[in-house]
Amino acid sequence: MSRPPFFGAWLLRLLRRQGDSDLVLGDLEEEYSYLYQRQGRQVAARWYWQQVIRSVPRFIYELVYWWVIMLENYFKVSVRNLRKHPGFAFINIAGLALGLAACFVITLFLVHKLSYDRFHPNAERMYRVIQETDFGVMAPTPPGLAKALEENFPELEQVTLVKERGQGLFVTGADSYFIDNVFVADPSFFKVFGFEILQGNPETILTAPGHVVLTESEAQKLFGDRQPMGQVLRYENTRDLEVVGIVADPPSNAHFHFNVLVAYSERQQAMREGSTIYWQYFGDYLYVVLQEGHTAESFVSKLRTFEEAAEKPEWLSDKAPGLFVEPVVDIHLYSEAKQDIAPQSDIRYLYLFGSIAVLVLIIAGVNYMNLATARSAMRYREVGVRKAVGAMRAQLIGQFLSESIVVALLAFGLALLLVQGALPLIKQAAGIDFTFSYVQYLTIAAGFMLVVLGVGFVAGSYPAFFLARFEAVQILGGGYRQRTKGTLRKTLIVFQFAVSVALLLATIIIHQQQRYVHNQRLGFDKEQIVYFRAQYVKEQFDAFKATLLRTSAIESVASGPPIGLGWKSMTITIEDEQGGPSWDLGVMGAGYDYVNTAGIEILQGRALSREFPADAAQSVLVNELAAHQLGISDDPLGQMVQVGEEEKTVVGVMRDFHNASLHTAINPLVLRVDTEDTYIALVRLAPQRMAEGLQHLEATWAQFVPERPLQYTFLEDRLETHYQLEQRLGHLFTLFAGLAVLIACLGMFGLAAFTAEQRTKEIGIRKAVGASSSSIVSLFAVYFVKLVVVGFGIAAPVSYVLMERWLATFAYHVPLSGTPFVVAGSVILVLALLAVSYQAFKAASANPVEALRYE
Amino acid sequence: MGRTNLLLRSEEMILLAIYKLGDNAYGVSIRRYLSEMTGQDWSIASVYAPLDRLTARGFVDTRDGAPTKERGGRRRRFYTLTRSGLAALGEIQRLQATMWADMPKLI
Repeated sequence: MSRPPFFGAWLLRLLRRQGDSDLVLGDLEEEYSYLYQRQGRQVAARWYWQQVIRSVPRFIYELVYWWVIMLENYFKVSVRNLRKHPGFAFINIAGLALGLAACFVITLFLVHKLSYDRFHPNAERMYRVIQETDFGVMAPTPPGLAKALEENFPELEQVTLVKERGQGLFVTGADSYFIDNVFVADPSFFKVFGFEILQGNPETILTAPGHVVLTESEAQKLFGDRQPMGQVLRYENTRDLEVVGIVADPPSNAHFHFNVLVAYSERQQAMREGSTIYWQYFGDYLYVVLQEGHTAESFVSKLRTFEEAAEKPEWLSDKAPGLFVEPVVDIHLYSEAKQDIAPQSDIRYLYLFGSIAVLVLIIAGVNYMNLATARSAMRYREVGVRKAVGAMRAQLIGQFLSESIVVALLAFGLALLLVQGALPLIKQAAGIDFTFSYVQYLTIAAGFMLVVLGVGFVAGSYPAFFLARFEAVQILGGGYRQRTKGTLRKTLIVFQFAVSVALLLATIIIHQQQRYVHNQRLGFDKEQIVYFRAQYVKEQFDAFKATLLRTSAIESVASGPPIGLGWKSMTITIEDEQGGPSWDLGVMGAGYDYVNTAGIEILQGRALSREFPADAAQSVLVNELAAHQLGISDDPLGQMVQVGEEEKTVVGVMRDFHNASLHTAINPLVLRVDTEDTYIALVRLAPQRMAEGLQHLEATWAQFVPERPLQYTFLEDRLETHYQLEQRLGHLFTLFAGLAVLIACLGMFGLAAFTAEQRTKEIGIRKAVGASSSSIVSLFAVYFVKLVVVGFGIAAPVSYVLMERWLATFAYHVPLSGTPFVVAGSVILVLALLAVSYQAFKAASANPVEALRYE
Repeated sequence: MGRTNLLLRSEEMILLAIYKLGDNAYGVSIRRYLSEMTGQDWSIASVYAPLDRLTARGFVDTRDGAPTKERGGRRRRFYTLTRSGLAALGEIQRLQATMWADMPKLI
């Protein structure tokens, strides 16, 4: 008696999922034996295989069809179940969808940030040369270095220099335009950078003085529909430039963006070709492309040797100028070089955002599972009934699992919609335009889909594997008690709130830190300063000032330029005696107390003051950079420096501050007393008493200048526009932290509803024996508040430690105080109470008769 | 597989076979009968696929028999028509009659 072919049977068994594979196999075996007896093994086996092969496609089709039917069925049942408790369902789905959407958006953001500068064709081999100086690591390189590199380093395929020029005046015909982001670039710019040239000859663009290249948008602005090529623009009223090329707008993920590229002028070209290297001076930004096969390390070590061997002027400090190299793709996130070509971001923010994304996702997932299991625990009766009418365990498991997954998928669908809708808003808030290829988007979406399926599966496994285990009799006969006291649920809620608290704390502390960093980077304390036009009190300025200072709500008053907005009295070009390149020295004139009012920090010496009569005409303050350029860094006080025609004495050194936006480099600056020019006055208000101070200001003004109303501006408001990047990050962070809290509260809300329903009987009894509504409400409130408190108790110390460590990574940071904790704690408590109280009230006001009727 | 209420041809033929085979209607016999009748070799799948649908729609009842050695120790499952199965067949019969009534002889 021969057995039929084993593999054939196995294949069929595999395909035949309806559970009756035995029938088919039995039939086949029967016919096989019949044939075997009559016509022998060969024929029988051949027939068997024939049958198998012919049947396979059909069975597969049937299988798929069967799955589809089953899914359809599950879907219908799921929807029906959702309809039964629409509130629950909504909360469940919404919570998960929100979490998914938030995480998704953050992921998109992270992917975008990580993709900076990868679009250049040579991205992997592109590096920027930077130098370490007494000031720290600086992005601008010594003038003259580019030429030296070109001559001595054959392993560099390309070398290019870029100068940043900020805003420029361009006049065409009758129209003048102030264009931002003007850069000067040398001929090899496009050989290094992969910005797309739309019009113009790549070989000749930027090769001669007088060339200018515009971006597409800029050309559109200037010339509209006319052909921009060949047009002439007058630059800064000094030179005429011809448009020789149009490039596509630089993509959002480039570490600097330009609107106009101007070719090197003749003078600049001459300097470029010069053979002296001005070590430790700050020139332009130097980018190189390394030949294939050469490593950055070998380049750097060769650089060092070159440095050491190079001739340097004697006065240069002993500390050798250290030339470094950083990969261009790392600039945006990792570069710590100061005076960067454009403001860059920080990888630390990415870590933070990544952590938030994960946390929010976890909260959402946990929430979903919590609510789902809670809901399904109430379905134990349904399980009983189904088992009683003969549902198999496998079926039930399948049922619950697929229901859960279906709902999770619904949430995913909703999340995708949310993302689509919110993305434009987020882009605005973040100030970034990130675009994605479909492939990237789909890959990320697929990843999330897997997570969603996982969440659905886990959520479904409680009812599937736990509930389905009970016998029908057990359940319906009343032998089934809710075994879990809900400790798991409680733990999950606590966990959720702990995470939310931690996130809130992080948000608050990060905000504090950002403000602090802002002020640090600016170099002056920008808060509480107002400025206004003071020429009307020019004659009586001293009296005006004295009156203002009568209140302690005003800390300090001075006439002088509004700091941070780029005003200088004049710029002097200094020819360097020691053979360095000529450089620009800014001269600022301001009244006494300017330093105090503007919040400039004095590092050495003192501020200018009336107590020293010499200060009126003789003394000056210099900033650190000026001290460096003038060669007096080591012992600046008392030195004589040439400012234009006159010699002045240095009496103090100011900490470098950004007199213009963070986008432009700090310039060497000299501050002298000028009481003549009282065009603008600054007033510094006491922190908690600004309204009071302002009132006094207005009153005093009215006293002195009754015929004009006072118009003042908060310096901070004017500056805000410059620092949007970090502000926006801050906003984003707050948004997501808020979302996490919202989701946690949703979870709480849902759970409160569940608990209320579960304990309807208990509440009914309590009311029946005379408990008041308020006692019921407080019952609820206490129960849940305890959870929140525990959550807080866990989160607070952990957050403290973590934030302490994060803050320590910054050179300067705010001290960790108790305020964030108090704020976070109260916010969470209030929100949680709100979430719970609604349910509590509903439960408390329910009719006890209704509740007890269940029995 | 559209959601039409009418029996598919294959379903119709299987129901007829089950009717004709009476007490002896099971997988092998049905397959053999249909192969003989149509002159084409019906595969196992082409029998069981419609059979499953018919069972799902409640047109067919099942009854399990004893296991036999030829089947490797597995049981036979016998099929019979239910009332609704008969009704479905009846509907086809009526439809057939009305639609074919005025057709000329084609072959």
